Amino acid sequence: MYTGLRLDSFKHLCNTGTIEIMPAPNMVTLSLDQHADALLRSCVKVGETVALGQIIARPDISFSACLHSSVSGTVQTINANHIVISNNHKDTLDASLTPKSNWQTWSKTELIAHLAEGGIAGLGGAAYSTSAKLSAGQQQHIDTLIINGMECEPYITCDDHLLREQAAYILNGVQILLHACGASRAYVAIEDDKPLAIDAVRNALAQLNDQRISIQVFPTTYPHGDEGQLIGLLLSKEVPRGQLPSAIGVIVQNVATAFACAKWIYEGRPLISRVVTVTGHGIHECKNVEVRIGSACKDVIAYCGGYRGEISTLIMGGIMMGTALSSDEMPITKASNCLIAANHLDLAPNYIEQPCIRCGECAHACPVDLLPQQLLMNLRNQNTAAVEELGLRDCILCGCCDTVCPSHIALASRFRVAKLQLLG
Amino acid sequence: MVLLTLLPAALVYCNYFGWGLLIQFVLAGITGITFEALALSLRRRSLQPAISDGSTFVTAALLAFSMPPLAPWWLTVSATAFSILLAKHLYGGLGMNPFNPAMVGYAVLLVSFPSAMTQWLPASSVTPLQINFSQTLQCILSGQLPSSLSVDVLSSASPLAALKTGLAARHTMDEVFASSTFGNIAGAGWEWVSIALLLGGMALLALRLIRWHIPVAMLLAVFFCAWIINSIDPGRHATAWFHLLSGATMIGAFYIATDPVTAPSSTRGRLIYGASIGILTYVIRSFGYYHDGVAFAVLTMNLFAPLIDKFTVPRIYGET
Repeated sequence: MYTGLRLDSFKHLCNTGTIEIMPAPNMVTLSLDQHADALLRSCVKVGETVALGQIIARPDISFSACLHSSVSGTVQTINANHIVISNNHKDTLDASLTPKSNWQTWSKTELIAHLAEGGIAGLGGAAYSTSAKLSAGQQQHIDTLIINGMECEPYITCDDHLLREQAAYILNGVQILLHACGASRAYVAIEDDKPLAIDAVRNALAQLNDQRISIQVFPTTYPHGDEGQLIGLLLSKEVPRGQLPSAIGVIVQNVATAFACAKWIYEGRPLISRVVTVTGHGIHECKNVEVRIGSACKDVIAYCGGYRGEISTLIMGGIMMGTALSSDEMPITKASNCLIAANHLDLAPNYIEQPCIRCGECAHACPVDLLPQQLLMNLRNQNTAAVEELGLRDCILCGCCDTVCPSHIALASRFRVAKLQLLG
Repeated sequence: MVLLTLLPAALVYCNYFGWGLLIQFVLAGITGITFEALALSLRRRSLQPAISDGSTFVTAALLAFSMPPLAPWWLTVSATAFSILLAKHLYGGLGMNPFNPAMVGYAVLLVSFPSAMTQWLPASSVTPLQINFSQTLQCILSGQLPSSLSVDVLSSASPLAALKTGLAARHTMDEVFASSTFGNIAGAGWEWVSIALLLGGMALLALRLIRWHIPVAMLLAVFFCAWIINSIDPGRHATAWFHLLSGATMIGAFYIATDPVTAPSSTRGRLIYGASIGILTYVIRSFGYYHDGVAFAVLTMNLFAPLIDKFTVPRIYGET
């Protein structure tokens, strides 16, 4: 059994206080490449007045999530990549949005279609449409729903805070998801470094008294928040190569996704904001902030007191799997769970890469049992067939190999590039 | 770090066999780093990282342990040259060499100068040490023994060599082992050096510089081969404990076979590799021409390491 890595935690940087709501910015930029499963097509015109929560872009395929305006105001520009809307600060709500308290009488398909209308997508970091995941599961018999509250990345605390503050509402979302996938049981999985969240979920479960839902607490190890790893940990099952978890009757959703479902169904509020952990040693006030989708990173950083001194990199996502942003003008998307303003205290020193001595530590650390050093060798030799054979496709880009490499070779970043170039 | 773990063994070795080891290490270290710098500048690579990674000094230390304590300087210098220039840099430097550099240097010299490479000193517990530091240094540099000392006093076969010649002369095992060279189990002095190396190996494991698979597989293989053959024919084959604690078994298991560059990288592959080295070592010792077999066993298995890697690719997550 793979035991995972015990990484130094930096969650303490952003572990107190409550989630703050950031005022809507003057301008939002909503990316049309928002969801991992489908591109969006704009359905508004430049100059058009849009309401808060109004659908502004739709996917080409059914059961993929829509995109809503996160402010009320006027459409400024539309291009292939995004829609820019200026905020009139009135927050005029789209009149067609209503709560649906009768969802329990709906069929699975109706519910799944309705979640797509609400723009619900995976908020754990991939932003894969929740409805697409659920509808793929309709071909199979789904018996287990896993609600992922592991949050194993060393800096991110947004799910932890959401669980502390909104456990009851999250469980309402779990009930909706259970109905949508037809599973008979749901596990809320949390790592043991979040005692307040665990208490909150236990209390909420006791009040809700729904026998289908239970909580599972696991030791804090990386990367056990990965979908495949979590399924292995919880159910001792593996997802067959190249298939989705639904192939073995499992669907995994993030806690924030369950929260978004409850908001949409019970309040009629589509996915127009999300909680972002703003952290790192290069920021004045680390905090969890509820941010409108499409806000520029620099607005979020300004809200958190701005940069503290010089920063080395602004990272979107976790320190292990996130990507360095080229500019802080980039907008927050549904996938943005964390912003790290990183300086030398956050980043490993700039080691010079030494030659690979084939020590095999990377292979021991790999959660999917790949041979990273052989992948690297074959990538350098541009032996594409061997790279495929060695399972580049199965690499989850967790970065464990980088962490343990005594020669400080950046393996995962090469694999990320190679996956894009070779496998599309 | 690796060098520090060799310190206890080096102290024990110097206690039994004099200052030779230290002088050979300094000699191999200096020539090693010189050849390293030469090769790197010829290859137009930066000197700094490759010289400070310490791998050259580990190679030098392994050579120093392999060379006879009084080996003339040119033997050690040639062995280092073969190690660094031929085995390491001709193949592309650290990480690219298919064969263990120290073992290539040692094997080339052993084949070329068999008698010079097997002239050992008697352990100090058998014949009190007769040669001091300056005499050792003079002997290594000039090739001349001090006039007060004769060759006969200063040379002795290693226990593995004595066993081989003794058995070839149709002596019985008891007669061979009656000689003072053999100490308690595996040769006077030698057994204690081996135990110190075992301690060093434990330190390597504790410091997570190596993993257990190769040494454990190799030691078990040597032990079981020797045990089985010794049970069948105790008159002509030494005991399992003798084989574990004599010759290069311990240094081979913990310091030579574990060189990651030349070993397979998967867990299963390393078990196969370690066990094969153990079996080959025993076979060469007992049935081959050479007294010890570790160097040839390691080099032979270096050849198979890529093949072993190919056939022991671990099952990827979700693969059926």
